[in-house]
Amino acid sequence: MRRFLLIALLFFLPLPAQAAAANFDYSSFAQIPVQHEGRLKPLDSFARDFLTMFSGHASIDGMSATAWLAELLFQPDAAYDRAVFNVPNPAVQHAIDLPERENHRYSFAEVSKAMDAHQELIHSLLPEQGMHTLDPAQEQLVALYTNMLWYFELSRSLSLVLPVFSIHDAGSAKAIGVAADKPFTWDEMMRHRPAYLKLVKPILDRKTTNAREDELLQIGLLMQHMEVDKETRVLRVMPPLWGNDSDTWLSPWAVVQEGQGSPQSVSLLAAWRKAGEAWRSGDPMAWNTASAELATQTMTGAQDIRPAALKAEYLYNRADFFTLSLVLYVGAFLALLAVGAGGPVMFYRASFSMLTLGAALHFLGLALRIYIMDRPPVGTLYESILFVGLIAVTSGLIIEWKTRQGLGLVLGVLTGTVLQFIGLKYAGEGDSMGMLVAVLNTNFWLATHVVAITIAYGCCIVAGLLAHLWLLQKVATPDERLRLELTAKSMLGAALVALLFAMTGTILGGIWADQSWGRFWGWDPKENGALLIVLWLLWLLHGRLSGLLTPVRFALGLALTTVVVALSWFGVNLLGVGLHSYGFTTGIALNLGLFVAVEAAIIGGLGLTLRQREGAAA
Amino acid sequence: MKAKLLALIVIIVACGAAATYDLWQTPANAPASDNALVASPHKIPAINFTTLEGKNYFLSTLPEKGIILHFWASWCAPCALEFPLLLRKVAEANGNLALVSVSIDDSRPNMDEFLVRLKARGVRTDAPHVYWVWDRDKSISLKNFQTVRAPESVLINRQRRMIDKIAGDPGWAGQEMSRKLLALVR
Amino acid sequence: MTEKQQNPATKAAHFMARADVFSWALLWLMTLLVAGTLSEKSTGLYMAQKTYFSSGIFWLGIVPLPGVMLTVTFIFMGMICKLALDKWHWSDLGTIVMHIGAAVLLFGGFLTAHFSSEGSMVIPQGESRAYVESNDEVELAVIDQTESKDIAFSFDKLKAGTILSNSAIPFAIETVSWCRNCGLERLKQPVTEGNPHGVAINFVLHSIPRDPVDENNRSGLTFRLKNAGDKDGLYAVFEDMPIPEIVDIKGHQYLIAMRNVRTPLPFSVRLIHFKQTLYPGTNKPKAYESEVVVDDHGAQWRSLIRMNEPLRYKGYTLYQASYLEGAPQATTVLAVVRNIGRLFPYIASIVICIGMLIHLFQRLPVILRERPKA
Repeated sequence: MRRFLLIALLFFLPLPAQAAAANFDYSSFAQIPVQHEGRLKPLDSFARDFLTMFSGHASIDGMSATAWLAELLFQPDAAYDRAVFNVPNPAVQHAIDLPERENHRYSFAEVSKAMDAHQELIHSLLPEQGMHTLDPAQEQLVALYTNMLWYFELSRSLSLVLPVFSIHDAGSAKAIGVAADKPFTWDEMMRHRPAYLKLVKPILDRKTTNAREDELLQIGLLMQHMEVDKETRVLRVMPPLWGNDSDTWLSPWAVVQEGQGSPQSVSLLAAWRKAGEAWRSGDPMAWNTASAELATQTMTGAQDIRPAALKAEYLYNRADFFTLSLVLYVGAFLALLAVGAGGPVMFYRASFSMLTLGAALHFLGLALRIYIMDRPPVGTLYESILFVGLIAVTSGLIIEWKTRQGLGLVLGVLTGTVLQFIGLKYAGEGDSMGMLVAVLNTNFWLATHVVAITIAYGCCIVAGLLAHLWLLQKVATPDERLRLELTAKSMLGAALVALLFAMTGTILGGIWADQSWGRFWGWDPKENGALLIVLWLLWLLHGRLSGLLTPVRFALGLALTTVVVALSWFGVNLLGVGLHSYGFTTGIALNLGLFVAVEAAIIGGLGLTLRQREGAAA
Repeated sequence: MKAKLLALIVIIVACGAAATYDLWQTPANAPASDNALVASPHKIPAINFTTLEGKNYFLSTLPEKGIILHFWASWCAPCALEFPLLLRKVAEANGNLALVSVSIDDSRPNMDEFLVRLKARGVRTDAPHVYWVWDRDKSISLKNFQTVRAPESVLINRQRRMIDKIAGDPGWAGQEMSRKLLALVR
Repeated sequence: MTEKQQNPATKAAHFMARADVFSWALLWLMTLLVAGTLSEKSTGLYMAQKTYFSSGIFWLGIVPLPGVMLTVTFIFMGMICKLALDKWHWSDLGTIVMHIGAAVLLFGGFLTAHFSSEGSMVIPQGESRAYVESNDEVELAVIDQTESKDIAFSFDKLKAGTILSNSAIPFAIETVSWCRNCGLERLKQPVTEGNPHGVAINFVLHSIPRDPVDENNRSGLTFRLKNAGDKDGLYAVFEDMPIPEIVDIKGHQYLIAMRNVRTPLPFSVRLIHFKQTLYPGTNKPKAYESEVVVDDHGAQWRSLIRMNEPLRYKGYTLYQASYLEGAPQATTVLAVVRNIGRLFPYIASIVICIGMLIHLFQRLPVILRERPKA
């Protein structure tokens, strides 16, 4: 825990600067590639990940994440005083004596001082101290601590090119070979080190010093502190040039520490330095030119890079298609309500077009993800939610386009809103485009098995919802035969398509398992989940076709498909066993239980009503 | 009944054919893994240096075919260990290989002392094709290669392009280095 | 017809082919599936599989219930009966083919469940292996290290009081006690009676409940050596003993050890190189790869075994399953599977696909006719 000591000492790095001007253009800076969590991403995504981790939001104090990162990198001393850390839990605040505050945001300086004063508490909570379970407040405290360390590491990543040294005394400056009162960087210091050492040696041999000598010793102390900076590795913005491990990018300090320096890296770092100077100067023109130059130089120095994908990701971050599509879905929902309340036909058209537009944006977002990640968009739970949402909304649109009865709209609006909303919750959890574990790292099987299964989920939800609607219609307007028949037909069609995809997906999954683990079927929970869907649909359809199930019972069963899907989609992750448990589980259990209870109540209620009515009729 | 029998036969034949195919195929030899050197196409920067004897050279116009630009320091233990092997490699190359041996020491006396000790160990420090340099203001090492640690070596080929840079002792006598050095003079 | 129905076999066939019977069987299968999946959480994949999935009958308290294997067999028979009893119409061809495909799938599953064998090969870099190690069965091995002879006694022969002997070894082994999963208990005082050796001096093996995870089980055996001269006496061995039990008898070094059952392969595999690739700048693995040389009695060739890309040869399939972390040499773990039913899922999917296509083509005129109705 060397770092604690340092944090107390690092506040004497005042960099010469004005406040950054508001009209800086960050677009080139935001698109500089950085390697993080195993992939190349634009600096914009990198900044968003970290800022969200620290503050819970992707922007702060009216600054974009990129602007915030620029400040953190180019002027750490200012960034240390910016209230970035979100500490909403009073228990955490009290544990380390942070003052209560309405917006519960604290600066790095505050947090690090508070942590420093409670070192023993923090140490006792760290995982090295044996395995013990922490309560939520303690976990948040540990998270705050690691966040603080990340913040510090980020802030020191570029110290290699920050002009942190300066000498006021003209005599000393001359002896060392630098200009007095003109700040200079670490590598300049290294070049003048022989002269500096010659100057300092006699001072060290004595006990007493004067002000001029103190200044010289301060430099030595500062160099010693920068030893810690040399370990910073998070900001991998330097493309590799040498050696066999040529797809690992390096952080500026790693280049020096690992002996990977080259004329190219020297010139790229000079560009970083220039960008920093321009940023601190507050001159928009200088910044815009320097940051654009920096971006170009990084791109030309890199070999396996897809500039268009970086651009696409930048666009993806900024446009936020999924939130937009959610807004449109909600709009379509409201318009549909207006239709239901007897509004004019204009509302119907509005609802239809909003749903279509929302689906288009939804599709665009997914298409961009495919392009950026260069793989099918179904590798994680979050992605499967997005994908299922699109399938369901599209099915709704197709049904509406064919029938024009409002049925498809209800369907699309409901599934779109709910699934996009759930998706939004998952999107906040770090990089949503993270790399996949080795066994999933195969485009062929992702594109076939996973896509098929995910389409099956979507179709099951559509079929289940149609069954709900059919039951509702049966209860509310039992005499409208034609409408009922139309719904029944769509429902049956959706169920058949769902079965087709579920079966295809399950068999393909078996073949994949056979290819990679040597067994077609291993009774893994996720496999069982998929099989359960297949069997359930088989049972329903065979029952329907053989006449064993009455239409009402068939509809009731089909309505329950939503529960079966929810269980096999989210539920199996709760078991935490087997090869497929890739999801986040916290909070799922409660929501899932609630969903199942509500569905059971609705379907049970509908079933009972219909049964009573039949009994009364008979 | 005929239809059923036919279906049965077709399925059995299909299964049998597939099984036969699967069991009797011989796997083909997989292609040999490609462990080729990652060639960096970059030209060397303009570097001129002065040897300890006071002679001035441009790196780009040295007469030898290949160059090892080697950074070392008197405080670096691996450097002391690797020098005999490195110098032998240069000698074995029959004048095709130059060694530009750059000390990044802060003080000249430290460096001189190191060389004296090297000589005392029986290493010929005055061999031909070896250029001893003291990088007093780090204008070769730090300015061009961000070198602050030692040893680091840059391999430069006949076209005066930088083929590779190695941080640490690469094992000069090893097979891999021999292969790389051979590629330099080709 | 009525005469035929009195035949009990025909009657049974008609019963199994009934739609409602099928429907109930399917419901029961789903119940089992849910119960089995839930129990995986508490008892582990292996036990759940044994209880629910690969069992004919399992016991719920004192009530015997049909397991998945039996239920699926029943459904399969039902399908066959249905296919055999029904009259085939050309109009149903697609559906019939689809169902034949499903039957093929189930039949393949049956073959796999009964005739496939699974094991693993642990190969350090540069070394060669020509046998497969079982994942769950163990044996007692006596290895004459002087003449490199290898004799194995399978675990089911190790009941207490059995005398094991072989013409290749000059001594006999009388088993005292064995355990599938052993606990090791240190004695307060060393044993003095019965001339104990090695581990048996200070420790005693006792049986503890089997762990649901197979690798956590440690099998062991306590035995007496006979006809071994001054080496006669009490011994104890268990799997992966830190100090192996080596007995020196008449100038021969005999290693006595518990190990996983080894089955010879008709070819050998040598590991040239194992490589784990990480995502750049992280510790997250991106790919695993073993470069091996297969040697089939002199014929040799190089092969790459990767995640999702196994090596198939002579009915065996070798998969990249794992690797040993922290081993002195890079060591790969390959899963080896020999499965007669392996191809059936492939054949079945093709048959089902053909069925769907036929069905679609037959339905196409109907679908097209319906369309203008909107």
